[in-house]
Amino acid sequence: MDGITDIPIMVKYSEVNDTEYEVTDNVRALLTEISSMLAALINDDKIDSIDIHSLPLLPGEHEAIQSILGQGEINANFNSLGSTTIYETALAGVWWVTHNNENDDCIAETIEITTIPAILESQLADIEVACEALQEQLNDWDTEQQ
Amino acid sequence: MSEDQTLAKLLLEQGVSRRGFLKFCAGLATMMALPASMIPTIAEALENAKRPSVIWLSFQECTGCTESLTRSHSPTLESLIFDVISLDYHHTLQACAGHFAEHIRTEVIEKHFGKYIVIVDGSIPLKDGGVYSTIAGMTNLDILKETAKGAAAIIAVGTCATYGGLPHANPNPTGAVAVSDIIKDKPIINIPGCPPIPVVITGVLAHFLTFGKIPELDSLGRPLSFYGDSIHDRCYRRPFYDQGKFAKTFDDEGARKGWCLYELGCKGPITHNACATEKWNQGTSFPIQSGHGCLGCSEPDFWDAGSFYKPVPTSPSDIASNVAPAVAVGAAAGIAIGLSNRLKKAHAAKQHKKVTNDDLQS
Repeated sequence: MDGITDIPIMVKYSEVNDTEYEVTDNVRALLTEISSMLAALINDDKIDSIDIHSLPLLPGEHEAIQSILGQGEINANFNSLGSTTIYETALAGVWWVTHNNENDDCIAETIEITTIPAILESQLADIEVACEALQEQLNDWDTEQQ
Repeated sequence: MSEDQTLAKLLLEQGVSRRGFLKFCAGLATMMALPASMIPTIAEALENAKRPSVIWLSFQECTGCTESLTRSHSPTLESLIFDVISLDYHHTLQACAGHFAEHIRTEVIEKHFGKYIVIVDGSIPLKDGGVYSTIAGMTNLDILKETAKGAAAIIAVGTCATYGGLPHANPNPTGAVAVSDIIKDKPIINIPGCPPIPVVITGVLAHFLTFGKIPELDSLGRPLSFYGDSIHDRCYRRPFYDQGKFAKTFDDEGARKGWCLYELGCKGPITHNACATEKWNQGTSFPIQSGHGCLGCSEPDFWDAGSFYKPVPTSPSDIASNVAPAVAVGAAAGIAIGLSNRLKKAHAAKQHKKVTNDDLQS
């Protein structure tokens, strides 16, 4: 047995309507917080984030927040130590970032208030490696032609 | 991994990109309850973090703490952390035995004097000269004293090591005591729980690895980032408590609707731990979510604190006045959650930001 998914018991939470989510106190508080953070991003260039993974939410609230924020135009994925999904919600400047491990279990989930999540940017260390690799390839071709 | 190799180099050698390394740091930030803005600081610190040597001592215990850690799902951040430390001595996990095993322990003490970390699970029996638990002919007391001498820090894992735990329960036939009852001259981090949450154990290790010092602790020596709030403060059933909706029996309408378990003896209001947020079994659930009240296993003498099914002797109004101010003035429970979380993280961030690379090198 490798993990809990192998145990033949299904964890079932209370039913949540697919289209109509209840705006509970927790959901409202989080949306209010996001609104404040967006204002700070506009006025002060302040980047912020909410660690949704460690919030004690009622069953269904996570889905409600995700549904209310919706999905925008950008969607990005990468695989390194497991899959990572990043998308901009329907609210510009509000990004949903989910990091999974190699077993596909969530290890971190954040709502980031920024123009672009830093992890999406090309990293200088990787650029240096890429530049070096390309230069080596060019040198090899030059050597072969001589 | 050689002793001089850093975590960043190890990951790069394993083909993990810089972006993957930042993801690893994002996972650590969540693990250590730090805000995402701390990720660059964590990354910078780990670039230079060296592999620490760890001696794990198991005394009077049930091995549940080791089980908790090793049975956590893998591969995980936890397993990566254990790739980074040098776990040189652990009765249950090490391959060697007998004199050779004990030789390794003494060798680590000599070679890394003042730098190694000691992890202890289990209580230490003192009655009758400590004969109730011995290893290689030495009492737990003697091994602990000998090993603690050169330790940079001691991490007491589980309720037995932190408070004496079940062996200490009345009538305490072996005279069991906690690590902190014996060692007085070393920094001790208490990670209570029966067992403790695996991510809390590795979160503390990650903190030491990242910042080169122990995290901020509460009056019982527990890391504030994990034990700063009560279970009650962070419980998803908290809104029902605030609305006065309680389950009266385990099979009544309130229980079926998931109402607060306070009246069924839940010790959440007086228990500090991270179960409500970190949860168990790959984040699936924790006792309250499964319909049973908290037993309070991360608090001293929880076994002797009365019935698990009697409400804590504190009136609901008293509890309400002790939690976040937002609740006291009748604001929404959700705001209390956000406030508590933000205050905790701001506090943690404030503490960690003082650490620089220079501090780590010194």
